[in-house]
Amino acid sequence: MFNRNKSKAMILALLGLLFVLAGAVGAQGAMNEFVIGVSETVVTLDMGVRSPSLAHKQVSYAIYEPLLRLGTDGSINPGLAGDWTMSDDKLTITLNLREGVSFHDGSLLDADTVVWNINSARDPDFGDGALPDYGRIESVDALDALTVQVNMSAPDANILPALAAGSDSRALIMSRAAYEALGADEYAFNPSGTGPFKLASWEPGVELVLERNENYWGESAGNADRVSFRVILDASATTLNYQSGDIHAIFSLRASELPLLEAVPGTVSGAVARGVNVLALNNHRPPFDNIHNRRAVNYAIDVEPVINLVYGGLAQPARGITPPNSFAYSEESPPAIVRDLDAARAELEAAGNPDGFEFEVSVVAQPFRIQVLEIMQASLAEVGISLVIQANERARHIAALREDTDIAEAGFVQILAALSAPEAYLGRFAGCGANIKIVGYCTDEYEALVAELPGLFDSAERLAHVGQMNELAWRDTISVPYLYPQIPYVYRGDIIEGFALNGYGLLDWTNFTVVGG
Amino acid sequence: MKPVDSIRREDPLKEFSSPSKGARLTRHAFVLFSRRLFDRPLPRFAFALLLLVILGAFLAPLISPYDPIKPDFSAARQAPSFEHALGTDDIGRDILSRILFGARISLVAALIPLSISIIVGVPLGLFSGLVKGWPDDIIMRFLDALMAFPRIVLIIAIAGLLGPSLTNALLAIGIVGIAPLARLTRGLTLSASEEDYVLAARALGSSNRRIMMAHILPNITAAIIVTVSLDIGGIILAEATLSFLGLGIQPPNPSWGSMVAVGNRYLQTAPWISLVPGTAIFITVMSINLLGDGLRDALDPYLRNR
Repeated sequence: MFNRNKSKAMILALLGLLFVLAGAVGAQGAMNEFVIGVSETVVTLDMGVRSPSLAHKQVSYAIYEPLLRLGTDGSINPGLAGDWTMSDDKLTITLNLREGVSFHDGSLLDADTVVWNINSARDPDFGDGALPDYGRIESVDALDALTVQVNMSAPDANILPALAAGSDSRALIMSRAAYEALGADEYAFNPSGTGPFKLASWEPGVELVLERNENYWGESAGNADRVSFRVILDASATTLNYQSGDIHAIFSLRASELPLLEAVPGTVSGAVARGVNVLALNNHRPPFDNIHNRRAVNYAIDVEPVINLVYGGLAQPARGITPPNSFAYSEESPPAIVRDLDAARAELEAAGNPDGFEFEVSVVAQPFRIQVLEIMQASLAEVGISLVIQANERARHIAALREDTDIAEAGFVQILAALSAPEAYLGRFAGCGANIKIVGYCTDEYEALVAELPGLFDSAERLAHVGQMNELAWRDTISVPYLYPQIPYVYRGDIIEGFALNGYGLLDWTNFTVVGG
Repeated sequence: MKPVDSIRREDPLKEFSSPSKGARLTRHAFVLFSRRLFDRPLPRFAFALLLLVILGAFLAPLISPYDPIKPDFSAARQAPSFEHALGTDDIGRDILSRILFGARISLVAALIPLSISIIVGVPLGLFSGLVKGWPDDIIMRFLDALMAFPRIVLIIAIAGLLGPSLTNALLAIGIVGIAPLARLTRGLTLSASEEDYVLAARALGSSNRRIMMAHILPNITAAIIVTVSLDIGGIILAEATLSFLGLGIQPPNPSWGSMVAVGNRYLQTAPWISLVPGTAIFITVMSINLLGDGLRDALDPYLRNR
């Protein structure tokens, strides 16, 4: 009898435990969460280390915040600094920090932390080295607990966009206390910022989970509690996961997958213009040391099949190197490239090789890049220009673009970054300091314009100046900017609201609302 | 002790050999061997398929309906039709024509690395197994080091170092193939060198070279042929992998591997772009493997009479 009662009590206890567990699971299931599929793996969340990955950028801007915020029209808005002033001589910027902002580790944002962040970013030995955007900063001082003064060695119109982490996430503000307590290696996997989300768990290469920062200082209209970034390297597998409902959003996908994804009920899709594709021509040596050969390639390339077949229509023909997502882009100048085979033949004639010529293009061996070049091959062949594809592994391709101008006569370049400075895209290719050295466009006329730029604080004047630089690059046909790609994204509108990318390709982390699922 | 003559009868190639010329196949022996190989339906079927692939590759310029590298943008990603029997690829090239021309690459891709592996690997294994001692130790440790790396990783590393081209890719595959073949040959040599007929040949005063060429090699050839025939499939797949990674054939020239890679982007919307070259690889690899099985059966004295 006693044993039977004991058994009953045990069964009841077990049932009770099961109910409690079920309740806990139910409570967890009631969380507002959604999953984003990403094709790249985040490797570090130490903001001292650069990463070209879009997933890295999205996660960084969820966890961290900049001192100032950059509007997509180039305007500067308050960030962790509620307001700021610049001296008349443009040599001193005073930033007034918000009060009561805390990092995820509990430490408070103060002037010393900001000074440490800016100085670290200027330190060549910190992380990936000194941030070029801070090159004209002479010193940084903490005037009081919440006031920071940035002293410039010379005026720099780009300093405010730089402080707004417009083009480089290394300007985002990290917790000094957490960094110093953990050390660089451990901090990279245990980041601490002030952003609306904090890191909940992270299995590199598999999944990274962010959870809402309950102590966020700012306003947050969204209700999302958790957002997961699930790494699925293969695009077709990503599509299958989306179709099966395992992931709810993809913010960087292949155009070829878009029709399949859009067919999933409840799907909302969009696309943001982002960057530029350029066939970077080696101006150092034949055949592209001759401007007529460069122009011939410009006239002969047929961009439409590339846009339609590779980008599924989600791209537009380029007019110059500066893309539409930059506020320095102009619809009027320089003119868009119009294919003209007669003009191409005339240029070949003028160059002294009417039958055409052969040139090699270095490219990272990826199917879509090869596909672009195969289409170019066919269109250039119509005027006798033979494009030879040199499929290289990444390191050799980068060497071909940046170090050794003997490797190839041209290189495939796709800049998908959202760069804040109006001249930043052009600056990659043109000028003596351009990092894509294969182009080698270094003239006194252009350099004079480059030198004047940092002193131009008036926005209209600055844009006109960049326009002049674009005109020069166009006149001298330094390379072939052929299209502006758009990055398509999709999300389940029946599950999430407020999932959209801004002009810089960034998500608004204060606005996710989970409505179903 | 058995008389030397009766021992030599255990040689599986003995029936195909001329007594005066060692292991060389005579016409009569070849007929016998062929009869045994093609007696069974599967090797016959496999041979017919392989012949079809080889003929397609040889006659590609004559029978291809379209230029394999010229795109027709207006016909991109068309499903199989009367106009394009196997459809068109991502930029409108006829897949049938690319398959036919791609067969040339895939077959060459199988033969060249195989030749490198055989020419270097078999003598190395024979020498190592027969001489033994420190030369054997040095050779085997070197081969062990090569085999410690996953095969495809090593191929990619070598091909990456040499630079992306078909020649380098095939060279890399061939180099990586040396180690397993040499190891196999050495093992077979060690085993064969303990056999009575080798001991007898030694007792009769045969030189190492004669023992190697006249006694051991003919006895281990069957196993080597079978292994090699089974390897061909793997080699075609390795070339396919290298082309997939951009380290093999350079575009716009077609290879089956690169065609599969291109189609990967359209698996759900235009599956034929990947499926057709994938099926071609499958058929070729399967026929070679079936033929390899047939060869094993025809050459194996124990299986032969079952």
